Amino acid sequence: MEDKSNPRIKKSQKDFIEEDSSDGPLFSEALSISDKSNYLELQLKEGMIHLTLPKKTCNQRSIQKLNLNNEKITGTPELEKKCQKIQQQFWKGFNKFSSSSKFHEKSLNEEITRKQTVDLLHSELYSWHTLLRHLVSLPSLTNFNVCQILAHEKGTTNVVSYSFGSDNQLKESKTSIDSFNKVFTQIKKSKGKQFSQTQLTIPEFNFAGSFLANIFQSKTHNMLFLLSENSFFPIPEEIILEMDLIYPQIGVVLENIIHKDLSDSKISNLFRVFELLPNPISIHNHLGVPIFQNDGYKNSNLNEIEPSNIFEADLNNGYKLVMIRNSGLSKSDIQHFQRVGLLGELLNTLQHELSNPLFGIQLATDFLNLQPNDDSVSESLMEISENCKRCQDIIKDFKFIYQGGDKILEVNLEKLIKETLTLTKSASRGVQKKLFNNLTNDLITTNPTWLSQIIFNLIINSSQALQAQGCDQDGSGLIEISLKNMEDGKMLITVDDNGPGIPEDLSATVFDPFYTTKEKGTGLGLAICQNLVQKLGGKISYTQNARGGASFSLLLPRNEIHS
Amino acid sequence: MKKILLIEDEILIQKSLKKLLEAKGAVVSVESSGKEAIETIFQNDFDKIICDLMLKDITGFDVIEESKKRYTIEEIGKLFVIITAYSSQQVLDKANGYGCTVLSKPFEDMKEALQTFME
Repeated sequence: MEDKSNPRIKKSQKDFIEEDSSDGPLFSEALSISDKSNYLELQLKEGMIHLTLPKKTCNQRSIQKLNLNNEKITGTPELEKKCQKIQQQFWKGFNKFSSSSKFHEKSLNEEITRKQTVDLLHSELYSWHTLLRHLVSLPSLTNFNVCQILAHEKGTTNVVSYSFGSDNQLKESKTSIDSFNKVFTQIKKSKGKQFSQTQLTIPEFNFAGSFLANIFQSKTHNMLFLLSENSFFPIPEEIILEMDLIYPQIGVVLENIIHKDLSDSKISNLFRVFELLPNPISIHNHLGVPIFQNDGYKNSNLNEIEPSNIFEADLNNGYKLVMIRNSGLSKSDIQHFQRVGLLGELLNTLQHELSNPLFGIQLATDFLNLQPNDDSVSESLMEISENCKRCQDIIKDFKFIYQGGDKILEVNLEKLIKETLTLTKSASRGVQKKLFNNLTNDLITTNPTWLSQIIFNLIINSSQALQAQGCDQDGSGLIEISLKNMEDGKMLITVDDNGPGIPEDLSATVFDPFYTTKEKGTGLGLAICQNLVQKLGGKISYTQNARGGASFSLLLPRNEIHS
Repeated sequence: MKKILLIEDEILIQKSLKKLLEAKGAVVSVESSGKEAIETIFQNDFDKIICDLMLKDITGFDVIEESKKRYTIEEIGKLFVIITAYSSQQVLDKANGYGCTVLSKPFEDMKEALQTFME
């Protein structure tokens, strides 16, 4: 250990930190050290200094700090400038100090091996945790096992305490701005920077006895730094000297950490916004590796996206933004929504054009019913009235199924399926349809348009397969729809037919867009089904049933919709 | 004897509803055009005006708005019954603003509808 009682050393060490650097850099290149058998050769480039020091007489702390300043610091231009200034100050001070007679006092043994450890201050200390852990593990601070930093973000009431104690754990907590401000002012005014707990009450401070304290100020933060041995002995003078040397370095690292925290927080906020955007978004770094992709992007099938819908923009540093327009709708989605949209328009027109004359017929029938009629006329009028009512109900059902494609409603599943069966009537002519309802509760919260579209597609699919076999002619074609409760509040809808099924080698691709076995099919029916089932938060699967026919199973949640 | 004006451009509805109302004892005048209906409203006194919303020239609300030149808002609320096949919330809100009754076409309950017209 060095002679702590020597006041000249203290003065000299302080000098080389506090020295003004207005003269510009003294040494642009770092010192090289050769470990010879009995001495160390220290050579500063550009010929400003060349020392050959006997090992036993070197000031170990000075050499350690010298090495510590030996690395170029990377960061913001402002930070680099600041680091450079500290390095310059150090070299200038070192030059002055090393030429004094008090330099050669202690052995440098082991100090060289510490170089790597100390260099970490600049190269690897990028978080509160690593900084605090590093400081308490410094050999020169062996007995100091508790280190705490309180950081106050200016303009806010946020004060965060980071402490690293003997349990080797980083503790992070929030504390009040009032007590922080009070302590900050006290420490700022104090010269000695050495305190005991009777003098200062530090927020979130969980250790006893005397401690060292210092303040740091940056553009955005005020910070308190505390170091304790967790004992009541006064802090040794040599440690105070040591810390005086380390504080400027800590200041640089703290600025680095705050800068990184702020930019991390900005980036995470930006990513959060991207996450919430409906458009699929991906950001790639300069190597083309994605550093962020929102769910919309992850779930997109890029092969299905029209190239004209992919928007790309170059960001700084070779980064690239890829965004998909039109909410990432796939071709099958777009075609589906176009069809549904067109159908909706047609239905609106039909509803308007048919409602009025039907209502007229109903009124006319009502009027005729008021007249005295014989039985056969009354019967005919009743038939007209009933059929008129039926037509009005069909229009109403169509309206219900196609009202607002994105509406989520509580619907009666059996009723919805029956209405869908009515819609499939003409396309499934000659095919028998049976509904088996084993549900304990028919109500489901879902998008009725989508669910109806899925069931409609499956029934039409089965009907066409049965009709292709001629089953509609002999009346043997049968489609069975069954509803069943499943675990976790889910329900299972199965649509079975007694047709030929799907050949085994093709069964894996039935849900692929444009897969079709029909001459006039678009191959989109089942792709649309799968897409809509996913949107409803469910799953669709195909199996061959015992009769060799096709069996499609829809597993749907009752209440959760992922629209 | 109730004097009723029926503004409706669907001829079968117009004729049939007229007959049904006359069977109830009302005297019914009919108009297919909104603009002509306004003239009729200014030249005659009616106990009830049944007005379709989607007319070929103007809307039923335009007819009501013009009628404000002759009637107070309280009188309009009692005088007009709107009949429409498009009874959206927006339509209902607007009709409520005038204090008018709205009946959807087709009528859910024919007797109740006729009773409303004959009030």
